[in-house]
Amino acid sequence: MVNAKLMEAINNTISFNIHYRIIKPDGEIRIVNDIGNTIVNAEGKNEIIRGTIQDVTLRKKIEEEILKQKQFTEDILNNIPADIAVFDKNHNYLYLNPKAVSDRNLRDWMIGKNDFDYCKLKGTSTKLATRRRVFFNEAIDTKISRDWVDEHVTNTGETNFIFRRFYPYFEKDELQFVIGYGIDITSRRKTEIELEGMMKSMSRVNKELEQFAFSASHDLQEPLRMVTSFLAQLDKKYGTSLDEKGRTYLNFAVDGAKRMRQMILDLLEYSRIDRLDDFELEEVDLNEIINEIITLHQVKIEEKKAKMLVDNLPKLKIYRTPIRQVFQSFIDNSLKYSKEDTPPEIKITSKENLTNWQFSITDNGIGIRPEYFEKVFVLFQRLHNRDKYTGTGIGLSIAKKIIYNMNGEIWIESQENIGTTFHFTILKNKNESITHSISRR
Amino acid sequence: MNQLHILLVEDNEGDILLTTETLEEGNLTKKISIARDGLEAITLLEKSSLEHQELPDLVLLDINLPKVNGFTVLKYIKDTTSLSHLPVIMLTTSASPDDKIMASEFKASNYLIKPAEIEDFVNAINKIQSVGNIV
Repeated sequence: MVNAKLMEAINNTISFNIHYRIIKPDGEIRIVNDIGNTIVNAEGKNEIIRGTIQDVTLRKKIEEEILKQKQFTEDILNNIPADIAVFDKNHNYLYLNPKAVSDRNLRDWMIGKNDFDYCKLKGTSTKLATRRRVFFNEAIDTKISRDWVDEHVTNTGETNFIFRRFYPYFEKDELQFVIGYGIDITSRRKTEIELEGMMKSMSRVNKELEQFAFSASHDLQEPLRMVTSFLAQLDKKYGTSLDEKGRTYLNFAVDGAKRMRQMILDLLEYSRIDRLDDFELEEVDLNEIINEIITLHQVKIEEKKAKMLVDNLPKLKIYRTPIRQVFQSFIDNSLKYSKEDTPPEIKITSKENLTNWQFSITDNGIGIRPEYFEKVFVLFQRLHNRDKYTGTGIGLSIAKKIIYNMNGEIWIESQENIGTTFHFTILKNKNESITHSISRR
Repeated sequence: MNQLHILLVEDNEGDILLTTETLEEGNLTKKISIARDGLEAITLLEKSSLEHQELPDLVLLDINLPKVNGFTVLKYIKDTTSLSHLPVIMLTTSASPDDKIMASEFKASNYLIKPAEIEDFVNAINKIQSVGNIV
């Protein structure tokens, strides 16, 4: 093959430029480039062949490598499931991948042209193109990528959602080009839309329920007030003329009306919890909160000879009134369900975890059987006879609802006749300043 | 304490009975006129004023009333020259701070929550008399 080419050059007295392989004595293969021409004498005969032989092994290798790289990049761009285009600063196409425009001729045509040229060619609306141009300029002006979602209506009338991004590439503060890409997010977007709809209807139902609880409890007060008022009148005006049985009936009626009133007031309070918007987030020293509650319960604490052991608690950015309600419910509960012969001892501790604060309120009271752990949090659920322990049974339900609203958790550890610990957590918020002193009181 | 002519604006029959009984038991009234909705109250006051009939000494005014609510009645009274001197005590089930603020802005003399006892009425009337705008 090499000889044939060489002979052809000699016979025709023309120049040659050929690549061929040589095998060196040590067996190594090199590629050489042989360039030369034949020089003829006065008679027109070949006299000499003049030329050079150059070792181009390395060059050949590099060329092959570049080709391979090019192929690799092209394979990626041709097969990636995303529209990719590169633009100059005037939004003219420098490159388009086959996913962006599958027709090769059209793709070639597009180079050097912009979206408006394309719309003109296709006779389509320039609405999306105009919008895109705004984002394009925004990306260049702000020097950061600009994202948006295009909605395309397909021939079958379905809407496809394409997530798009313009990414301006600068070198030494000078715009080199803008990369644009788009990914089909239709299925994800459809799920999102579905979820949004569900969330909306759930929050609507929730709002309606809240409103219902609020109105119901509010409106129930009115007729109940009539019952209470006229029972009182009955007692006042005719109480003396009733016999013992009659008075017993009246007492039951008055007592029932009183309890119902308390339940309605509790229900109103419970339905108001969800209106966290009514409160403001503020820096709250939980030690202060506990002191306030202790002061409020001073009489009962002294009466029961209760001992309060309180850790040094943190300061949190939190809703003041709701968190006070939470602690108050637990302290109320511990004071109420103490053992008859043992003065209550109530311990309040806090623990800082990675993502939340954990608080625990431990008492040495009568305890709760495990089968009632869930039940104690149910609205108006009481485990005991009303004669022994008063109240409507709303305190813990309120505490639980508040904690859930603040994205916290609540759980119980308890042993009958030993005592109970209520644990609850409050999610930390990175944006909120939280301070905690290590020293213990 | 002088016995007063009181206009009670109230739609609930139970409350009408309770309030009149309480006022009578406290010996606070010589005459009680009753309007069962806001419009009736306005019509009654308008008529008395135009025909130079005796006006009540005091108005006890509920907020949630049919046709025209209590605040509108209150505003009407305070905006009408011949009636603006009439002391008005709101008598309502609403303990809402917004309602209390509104009542005070519209110049109600006092704000009582139902059911009001004799002492509540006595205190409220004494307060008005000490300011001097009641007979």
